[in-house]
Amino acid sequence: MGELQERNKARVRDYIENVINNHIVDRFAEYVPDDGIDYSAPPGIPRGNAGTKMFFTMFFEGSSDAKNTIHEMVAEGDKVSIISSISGTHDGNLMGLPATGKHFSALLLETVRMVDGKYAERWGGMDIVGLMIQLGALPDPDLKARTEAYTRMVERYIYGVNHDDENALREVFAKDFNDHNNAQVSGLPPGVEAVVAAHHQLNESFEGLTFTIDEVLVEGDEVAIRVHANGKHTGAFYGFPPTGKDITWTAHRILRVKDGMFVEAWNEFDQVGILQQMGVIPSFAPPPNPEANKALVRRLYQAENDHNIDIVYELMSPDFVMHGDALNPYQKGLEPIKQGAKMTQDAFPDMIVEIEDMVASGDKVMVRLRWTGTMAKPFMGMPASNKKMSWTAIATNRIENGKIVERWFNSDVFGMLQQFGIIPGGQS
Amino acid sequence: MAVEQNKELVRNFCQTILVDRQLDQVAQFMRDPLNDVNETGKPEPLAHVTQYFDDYFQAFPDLKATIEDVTGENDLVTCRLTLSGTQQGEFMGHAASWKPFSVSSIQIFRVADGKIVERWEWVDRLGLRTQLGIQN
Repeated sequence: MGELQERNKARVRDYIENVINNHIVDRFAEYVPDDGIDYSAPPGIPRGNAGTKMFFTMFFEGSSDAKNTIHEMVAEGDKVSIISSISGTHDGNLMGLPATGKHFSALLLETVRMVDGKYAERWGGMDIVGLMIQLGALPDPDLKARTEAYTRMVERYIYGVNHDDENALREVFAKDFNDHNNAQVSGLPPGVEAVVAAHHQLNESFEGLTFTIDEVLVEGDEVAIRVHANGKHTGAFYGFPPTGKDITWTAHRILRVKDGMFVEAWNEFDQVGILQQMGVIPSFAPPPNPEANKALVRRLYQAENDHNIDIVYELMSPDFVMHGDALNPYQKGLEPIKQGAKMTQDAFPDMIVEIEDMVASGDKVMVRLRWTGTMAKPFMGMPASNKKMSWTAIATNRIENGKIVERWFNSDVFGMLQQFGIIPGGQS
Repeated sequence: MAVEQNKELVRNFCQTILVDRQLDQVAQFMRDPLNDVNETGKPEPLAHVTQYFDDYFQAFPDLKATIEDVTGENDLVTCRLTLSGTQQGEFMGHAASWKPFSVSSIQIFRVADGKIVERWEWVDRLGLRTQLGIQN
């Protein structure tokens, strides 16, 4: 190529790498003449270096680390075309958008006509629409396609881990991949090789290692995943010798994608849970106390006899889950429990529940119950019989941190329906 | 000279595909798969690239592409275009506005062995949206 073209390219490189990238807007006049024309300048931007200075001053205010990376230059005659991208962090007000903290990378294609080493004319520019989509200021028309593409990448990644397939990992992790959690594991090589080494090590520690993807969320250039893993501890892990135990754990990972590859990631996984299951560090949970659990169950049913329904807030977890039967189907939370107790009390004002037996072990209490009462009002669509009725049930209650968190329940619904006269065979 | 041949290839591509819309001719000019840097940064089946052009032609049936300038160096060729027309179909999720527009575009191609192997594209999408009255 000619001398002029080489000189022009050197000028462009000097302008972008030394002046723009160091945010020295006061030196723009050395590269853009006063009367330079930018055919893509937004409305309201003045001509020449004053306009360039105004635009970049605004841009740097919105991104204090904005940097323009040149990918290619094409020079012919007095023109230079530049393929570059502007990347940075949106940490200030950018073109009216308050800081989001998001990372962006916008493609920039421009052609400039150089006169005396300066930008006399300029066409093209930054993909501002693409930038606004990345910052969440415009809806993302490609979200569905990108969600699918990123999900495929995650699946390939998990396949690579589950099959200890190094090449699958190298397909989706960039060479210079940055794992922000590598500090947790010493002696790993940099880049994608750290991913390969860490997961190879994990496969050595856990026979039959299987990760399952539980959730994939995509926004902007990030994909966030929730997974769980299991495997048999047949190799050293964190220096602890194999225990032969089946271990299971959960993990979250947020990965950033650039040019179709994972370039960085943040990771949290339940290391302590793994070590607890291996038995090398004690569990943080208090040891189960079956006697205390039985006392808790006794208080609950005594309160039912006292019509003190609100005690459920004291004795049961707000996340309570009921795995019930035809009488009490699957329920979550405490409101259905309160409603059920209130309905029963309304229909059977003299209702009494008696504990006939309790069997407690570990964190569970099985309790055998009998309800007895006179039906004074309609109940579950049945007209009031004004007769004494009685039915039984057996329930398993699981107690965690002094509260009932879960219950499995079977009651004699059949016998109840016989007493109502719906099913033959009872004494109605 | 190779640069002149490459420029001729790109000029023919722009004329045949973007101006004359002979989409069945895409494979004459482009390698399959094509490294479509804007989209995924990875090789894309040519069918996807053709679909991308077709989406534009569907949204803007009267789209007129005018070649303004072609330059080249080594294996790269740039093509500056003016695109004008009327939005008569859905574009980026926005229903037809029946508004006219005229915007600038720069396309840059890498050529190897007589075919386009890589494609970069900039379209003044901000100007396009403004002229079509698309707010968000």
